[in-house]
Amino acid sequence: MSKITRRGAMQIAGATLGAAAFAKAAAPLAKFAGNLSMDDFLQQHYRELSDEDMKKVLARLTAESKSEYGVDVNMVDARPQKGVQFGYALNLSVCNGCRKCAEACHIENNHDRDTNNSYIRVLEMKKGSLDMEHGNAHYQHETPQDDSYYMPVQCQQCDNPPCVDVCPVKATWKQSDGIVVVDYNWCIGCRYCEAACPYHARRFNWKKPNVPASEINPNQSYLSNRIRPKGVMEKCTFCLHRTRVGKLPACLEACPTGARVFGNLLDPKSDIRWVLENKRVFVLKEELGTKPRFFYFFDA
Amino acid sequence: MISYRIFCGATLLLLFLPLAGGCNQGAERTEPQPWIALDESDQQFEVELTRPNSSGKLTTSALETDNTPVGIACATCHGEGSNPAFANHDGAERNFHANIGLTHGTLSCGDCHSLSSPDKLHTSAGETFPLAQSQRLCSQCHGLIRKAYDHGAHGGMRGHWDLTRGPQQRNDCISCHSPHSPAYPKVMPVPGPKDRNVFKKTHSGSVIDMRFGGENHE
Repeated sequence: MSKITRRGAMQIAGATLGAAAFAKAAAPLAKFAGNLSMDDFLQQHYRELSDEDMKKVLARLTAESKSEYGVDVNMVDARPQKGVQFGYALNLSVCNGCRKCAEACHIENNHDRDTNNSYIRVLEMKKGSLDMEHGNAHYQHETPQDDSYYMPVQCQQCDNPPCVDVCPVKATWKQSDGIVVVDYNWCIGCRYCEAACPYHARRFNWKKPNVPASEINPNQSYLSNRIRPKGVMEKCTFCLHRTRVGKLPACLEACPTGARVFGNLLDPKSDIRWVLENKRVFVLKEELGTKPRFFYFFDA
Repeated sequence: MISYRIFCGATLLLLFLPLAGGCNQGAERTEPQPWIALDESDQQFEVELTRPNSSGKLTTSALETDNTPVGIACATCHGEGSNPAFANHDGAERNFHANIGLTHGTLSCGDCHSLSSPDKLHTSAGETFPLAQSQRLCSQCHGLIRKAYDHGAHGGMRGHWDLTRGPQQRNDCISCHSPHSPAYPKVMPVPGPKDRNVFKKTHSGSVIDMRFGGENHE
C-alpha cells in the first residue's frame, strides 16, 4: 500500500488542473460543433467530391433548408459549360443610380434581410473622377444628380484573382468559365480574401442569414445562392445558377436602363464582344494587374 | 512501443490532414462539363419585342361600362373632309391633346404623325407605317443609340443570353421613353445595403460616418 507523497499529490493536483483547463479551452469547440452534423464536418472539398458524393451533399443541404428555413428548395450543382467564357460590361452613360441591380441581387441570392446585403455597391461618382475609392455608396436622394455619374461595382471575376491567392485552405478558386467561386463548406472565415480584394467585392456572414420562408429563392446552386452558413465568405458569382443554363443574371434583368451587357466572350456574335470591339472600355484599378472580366464604358 | 513524439506527430498530422490536403487527393472531377447536353443543331430562339399596348385611340376621362376609358379614334376628328391640321378648332376639342405636353426637342405633331392618315406615323421621307412600328422613327435621329440598342448596350432586357437555350425579351424605345417627352425621369433609388463598416454607433448613441476617416459626424 503506497503512501501519498508530496510529489504524488502535486502530480494529481497538476493533472486535475490541466484536465480542467483543457475542458475549459475545448468548450467553445463543443458549442461550435452544436449545429454542425458529422456529415458536414467530414465533407470533402468541392473538387474532391465524386458525382455520387455530390448527390448526397445536395440531398443533405436540401433537407437542412427544409428543417432550418421551412422551404423546399431545388438544389443543384451548376457546372461550367464547354466553350463559354463569361464577360460583363456596364454602360456608365445610361446607368442612373437607381440601385435596382443591388435589390435584385439581394432577392435572387437569398441575402440576409436584416442587413439588406447585396453583392453590388452602386457608387455615386463626381464627374471628372474615375477613382472608385472616392465614390459614395450611401447616397439617398433623387438620381441621377447633374454633377455625378453612377458606377455599380461587384465581383470583377479577375483572371488573376488576389482573393484566390491568399486563401489559406483553397476554399475559393476560379472555374473554367471564369467565375470565382467559394465552397461555403470549406471556408474557414478568415476574411483574408475580403482584405485582398481591391474592389471590396467580398462579404462575410456575420450571423445566420434571416430570410423569411416566403421570400427564399428556391432555385439554388451549391456554389452560388444557397443560403450561406454563419461565418463564411460569399461573393457575386454572375448568378451562375442562372447564367450556366443560358439565362441572364438577375442584376441585368432588373436594370431599367439597359446599362448592363452580359455574354460569352468566345462567341464573336455576342453583345459583349460587340461592346469590347466598338466601345472604349476600361477596367477598374488596371494597374494592379488583376485582369478583371468586368468592363466599363461610356457612350460615344 | 510507440514513442510519445511519434504519437503526438501522428495525432497532429491526422488533425490537420483534411485542412492541408487541399485538392491533391482523390479523383478530381474533370471540368468543364456541360450542365445540359448542348444542342448541336443550334436552335435559335426569338428576341421578342415588348411594347406598351396602344389601342391607336385617344383615351378620355369618360368611362365605358367595363370601367375602361372611352377611346376616340383619330379619324373621328381628323377624318376625310375635316381640316387635317385641325387648326381652326378651339375650346374643348383642342383640350383632347392638352395633356400630351410635347417636350421633344423642336419637334411638332406633324413631324411624326401623318396628318393625311392620322392613325399612322411617317418618316421624314414620307413613308407611312402603323403606330406599332414607332421604333423606325426614333432611329432617324438617334442612330448611334439604335446601334447600341441593337447590340444590347442600351435598353432593358430579360430572358436568355444564350439564344440556343431560350428566348429573350427586349423593351421597345417607347417602353421607357414617352415619344412626346422622352427624357428619362429622375428616380428615388431603392435603399442600399447597411454596411457595418461605414456607419458606426458610438456609446453615446451618435453615428459616425467612417467614409472620410470618421471626421464627419452625422
